[in-house]
Amino acid sequence: MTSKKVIISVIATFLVGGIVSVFLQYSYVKHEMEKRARDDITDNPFHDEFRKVGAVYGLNMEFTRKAGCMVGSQLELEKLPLLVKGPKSCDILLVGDSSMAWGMIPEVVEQMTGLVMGTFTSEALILNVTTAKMIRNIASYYLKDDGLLILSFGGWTQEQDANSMVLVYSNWIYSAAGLDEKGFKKFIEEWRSYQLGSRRGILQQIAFSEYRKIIAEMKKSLGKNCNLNLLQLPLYAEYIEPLVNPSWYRHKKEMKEMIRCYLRWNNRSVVMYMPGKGHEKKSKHSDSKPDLKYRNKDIAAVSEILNRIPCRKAYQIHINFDDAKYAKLRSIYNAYYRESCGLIDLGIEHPKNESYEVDEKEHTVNTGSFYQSILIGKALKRDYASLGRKKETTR
Amino acid sequence: MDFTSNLTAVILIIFFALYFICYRFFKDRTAVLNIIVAVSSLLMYALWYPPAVFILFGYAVLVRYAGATLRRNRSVGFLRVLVGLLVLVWGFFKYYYVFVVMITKDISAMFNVFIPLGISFFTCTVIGYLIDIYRNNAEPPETLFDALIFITFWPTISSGPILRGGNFFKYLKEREPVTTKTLSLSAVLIASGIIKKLLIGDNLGSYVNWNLIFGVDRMDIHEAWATMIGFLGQIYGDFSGYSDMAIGFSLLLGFRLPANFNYPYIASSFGELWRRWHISFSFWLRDYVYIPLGGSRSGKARKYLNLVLTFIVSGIWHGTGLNYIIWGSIQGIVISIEDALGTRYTRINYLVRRFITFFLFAAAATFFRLDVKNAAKLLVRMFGYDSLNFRMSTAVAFLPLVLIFGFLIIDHWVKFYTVDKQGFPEVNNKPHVIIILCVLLLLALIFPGQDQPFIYFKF
Repeated sequence: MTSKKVIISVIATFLVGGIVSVFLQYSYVKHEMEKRARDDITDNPFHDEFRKVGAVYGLNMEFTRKAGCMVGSQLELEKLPLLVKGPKSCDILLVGDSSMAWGMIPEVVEQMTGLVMGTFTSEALILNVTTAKMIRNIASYYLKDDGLLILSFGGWTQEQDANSMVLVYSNWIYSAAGLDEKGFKKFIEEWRSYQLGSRRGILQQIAFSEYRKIIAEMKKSLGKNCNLNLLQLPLYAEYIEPLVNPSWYRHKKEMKEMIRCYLRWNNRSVVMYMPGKGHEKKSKHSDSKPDLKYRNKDIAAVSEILNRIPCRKAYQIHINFDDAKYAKLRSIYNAYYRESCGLIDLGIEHPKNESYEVDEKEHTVNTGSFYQSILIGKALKRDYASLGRKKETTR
Repeated sequence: MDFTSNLTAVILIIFFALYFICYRFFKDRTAVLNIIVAVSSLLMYALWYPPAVFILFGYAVLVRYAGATLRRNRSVGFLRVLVGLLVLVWGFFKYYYVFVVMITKDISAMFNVFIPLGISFFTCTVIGYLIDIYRNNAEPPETLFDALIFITFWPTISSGPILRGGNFFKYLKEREPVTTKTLSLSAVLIASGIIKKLLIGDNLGSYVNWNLIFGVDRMDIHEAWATMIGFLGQIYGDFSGYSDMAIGFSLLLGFRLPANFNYPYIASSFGELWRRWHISFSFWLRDYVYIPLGGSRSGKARKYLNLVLTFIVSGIWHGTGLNYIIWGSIQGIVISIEDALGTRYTRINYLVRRFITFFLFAAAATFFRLDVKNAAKLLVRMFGYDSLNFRMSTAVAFLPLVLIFGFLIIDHWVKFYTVDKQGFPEVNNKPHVIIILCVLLLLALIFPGQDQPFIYFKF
């Protein structure tokens, strides 16, 4: 073949391939957008139950009528409602791991107590020295002077090396932890104005990560607005593997769907609806006794920082389904937090032999999260009745 | 440069349209063309991150003035200082995070440092060039501007091939003329690169990542091998695809660069494989690490030690982690064993040797892809007796392997381009080859895999 013919063949293929690709991209994007619009919001199948139970406690559960379909990661710091709140705006600040991120509905607690609740909760949020310093700063900024800080972590998130790496929101948490009260105030106000788009300093704009974000946006925009994107079908994973290796494909699919099977609460939104996959487990009541000899040098280091935070504090033990786990949390409280924190023990709070819906990792889901929130509300109402009084008197 | 991103593709189309208009008017005035190449190179690098351009200026100043001084005084001490300085700068960017975390165990204490795109490549280019000047194998750049083009040359800056000053600077005086022959070779190289990257590298990348995400613990022997062989296909498609495109774009600009890959998987020994894989780096290691260490001049034992040390350097160059050092050591040890066995090994049928080389390379690549703990686990799955539980309910479970080998066989057998004796690519313009190329190109544009960053960008 002559060189000329080679050039013509290759260029012609480029043109044909490019046009077909842009056409496919256009059709696919349109189809995807329509599909997403259909799937975005769905009816919450537990709404009736929420409404009936809520009525007993005088709760308006209308906000749970619809559930959104969560796609992708929940770890978006920008979506944490706490961070856009103003200074000294919370009566209660709850910091916790996935047991609280997915298993507690702040609106329910707020309605039961009449107080403003802020939450900083996330899956895999470990409680180490860095997190403790960050908690100190967010408490001093967001909590009212007579506010209550609630710590609610599972055993594994507390029994970490005191200096281990923070797994989620790490940049933000490390930045926040390294500041004093004044520095944090400046940091959070700059961060918030940056997020709200009101002010972006020149240094921020030319910082490496920010600049790369702009380039990524340009690429995205070229794809979205001009369809200049190659269609990216997960060719093997979605189309070939089901045929060639169905058992492995099924296993991976199941693994992926395990996290999409429940109605969860992602801070203030109801997400990931796929009913019927939760199962009920009996919670452990207060019969499990703490181990009085329990000691852990890492928790000791962390508790030293937390205990010194100058506000009212409560250590919360969430609903547990395992004797050992429950006893461990009681032991930690007994050894390190008893002196300076009150106790909200949901194991004692709930009726004996009660069952709650949980997922495979024993996070409360579906109605389980709703009942756990009611228990928290009840405990706060009873034990912290003085909370928010200052607000009433000033009014 | 991320050649397969939509933004870069649009920029390249506009750039070459303008370039060829200028070329039409200034084809005999290389100075004008050099300005266009220099400006475009700086702009392309600035597209990645503007402030990083100053780093390139620094390297250009070093090459220009230190190169000239080196030629004047030919001081080995001065050369050592320069090489040490370049290694230090490279090490700072590459190992900053590793050291800070190791020493302080607290990343909150450190300030953010970005790793300049392609630093490993242009550091190698500069070190090699300075040594060549010292050895009288190359002339120092005549102007700072020449040095700047050499350092910033956009087709190769982010992922090689590693340039040789001796070959590069002659094109600043006289370009390779743009003829239908060079244009056809460029077209084939760019098309081949797109096929390798989009159709093979990205699709296999999804397959490999998909398998690894779910952990190596559950893999049986077939899945473990399929994953690693998939990775070999991915890294070959990804890296040789980038190199093909870089060489193709360079040729369009009038710079003829040697091939960087020469069908490595038909190699019948590790030694041969490394003469066919990332050729510019293999030869760089030979000329600037292995030979200065003494090469094969001081007896067999010293030669093998030098080989292992050279490949450990290769491992360290590739990444920050013990796994890369282990990976490099394995390469050096196997080449040493092959050399020690001599004719006892080469007497074995070449097909058997190809088979051994390929599968041993795949096994060693576990340390390239995974950290030590997971690589060891995967090796156990690949060779362990307990993982011999084939899921025979899926008789066609071997299809991924058939697809991976299918492409490698097409690529290595059909050969879209051949490599001549001087190491430069030549177009293979047999009609069936061009038809297969066009069909695969069409498939690549319609069925690219999920976008994966070029693996070698992180080096």
